[in-house]
Amino acid sequence: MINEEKVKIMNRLAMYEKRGGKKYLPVSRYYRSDYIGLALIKNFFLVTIGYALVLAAVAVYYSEYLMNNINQMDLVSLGMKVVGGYVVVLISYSVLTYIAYTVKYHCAKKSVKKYYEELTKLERIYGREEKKNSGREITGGRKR
Amino acid sequence: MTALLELKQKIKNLYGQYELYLLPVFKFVLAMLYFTWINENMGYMSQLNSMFVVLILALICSILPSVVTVYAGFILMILHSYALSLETAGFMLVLILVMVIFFLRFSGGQNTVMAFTPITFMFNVPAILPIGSGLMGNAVSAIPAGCSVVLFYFIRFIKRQSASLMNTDLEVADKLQLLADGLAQNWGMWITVVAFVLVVLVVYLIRTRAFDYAWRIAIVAGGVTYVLVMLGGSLFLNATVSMPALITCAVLSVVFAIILEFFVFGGDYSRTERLEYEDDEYFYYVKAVPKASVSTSERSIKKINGEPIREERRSEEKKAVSFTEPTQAVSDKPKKRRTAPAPTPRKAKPVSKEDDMDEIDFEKKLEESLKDL
Repeated sequence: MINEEKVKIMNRLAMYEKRGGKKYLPVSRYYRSDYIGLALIKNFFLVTIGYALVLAAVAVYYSEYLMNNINQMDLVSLGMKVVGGYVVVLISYSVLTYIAYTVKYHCAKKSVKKYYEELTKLERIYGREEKKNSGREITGGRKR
Repeated sequence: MTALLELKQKIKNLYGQYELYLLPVFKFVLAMLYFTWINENMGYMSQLNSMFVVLILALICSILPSVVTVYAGFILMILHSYALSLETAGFMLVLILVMVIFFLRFSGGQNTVMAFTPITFMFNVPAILPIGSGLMGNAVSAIPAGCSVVLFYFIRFIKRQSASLMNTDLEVADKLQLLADGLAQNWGMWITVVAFVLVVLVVYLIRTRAFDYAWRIAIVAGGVTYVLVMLGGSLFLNATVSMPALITCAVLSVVFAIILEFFVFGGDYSRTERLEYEDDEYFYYVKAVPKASVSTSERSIKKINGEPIREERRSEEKKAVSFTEPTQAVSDKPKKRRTAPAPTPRKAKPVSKEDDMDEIDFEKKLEESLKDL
């Protein structure tokens, strides 16, 4: 016989999985530290690529000036400035990423909380049903 | 107003009924307009500059998430730039990559805003984009709004300079310098970027407040901010901004935004209720704004018989009480009844079910509950 309560719960679960769950369920499967750590590693590579692109663009823009004055330029101080700029950009973007992904993780956890509660309820129903069936078998009830 | 509300309700019902088909159609139209605009303004690669390609691309985008439209547009832009010159393609690629790496990756789903920008500029109402984003999205949509303005102006710049960019006599460094200058020293573009970002933030900030008419105030504040920033920017940065066009654009945008508000929000502040309650963990101070709605009139066709209703009713009542009565006496269609099996007290009820559905349901329930007792 159909268990109406079970169907209702399963319907709610399926609906969540289709809507908000798509976005939040994968996030909630990570530990907080893992999720944010991964985001920071990804951020490191992306910022490095982005900074290199911007630097290349600036270098091309001033290519004529660079060609003419490369011998008179203080390359060490220029290199220090470039590295300093990179560190500043990397730190600021890391902080931004940390904040953004912490908020995202918090939202995901909050959103999936109810989903997991419903899942537990469903599990309990299944447990009850199993118990009932096994009880039948022990007492010599009808076997399926 | 009632007629408008009724229209809104009808549109909502229609959308609810055909959402499955309407959503891809909207996505298709958006993608079509976006790609057509790109082809019209760039169209340097003849293979891509055809309606057939646009149609296929739009069809693909209609079944995929709407952000895909934006990224497909990026690819189109790079390919067209490549047909113009390698330097332009390189510059475009770097520009898009920098935008994605430094900005767009934080805005995620809000990036669809980028596809709307050229459309709003096409209809000369650019201010509707930041106001609409602030109303329907969140503060993060300021990022794609700003980026889309940069791309829009850059594409227009490429169109103006296409002759010199195609010139093979010009050196690579000169072309890149031309492009970089066109981007960095385009003050009109930067003013618009600042205006867009500020308007999104102002509208979102006011719209999310709890005071009355927050949406409408946010719209007007957005329009005023747009005009002020554009005027202030044109004064300080010596960029030419046409005053009548600016005011007209702002007013039109505000009007469109109010229409948008009517369809998206439509709260009735005159019936606002303030509630106060508490549970184990919190005190709640709730302000509930009811939605302005009206029930749509549905046409129903009633058949009016010549027979008096009173008599019919009386006979029905009679039927309902006497369960054991033979069915023929009760029914309007004696032929059918005659073939039916002899009525038991339980089966006597369906007889009146044909005449009055609610009554028999109620009786059935009553009897069942009595049986349980």
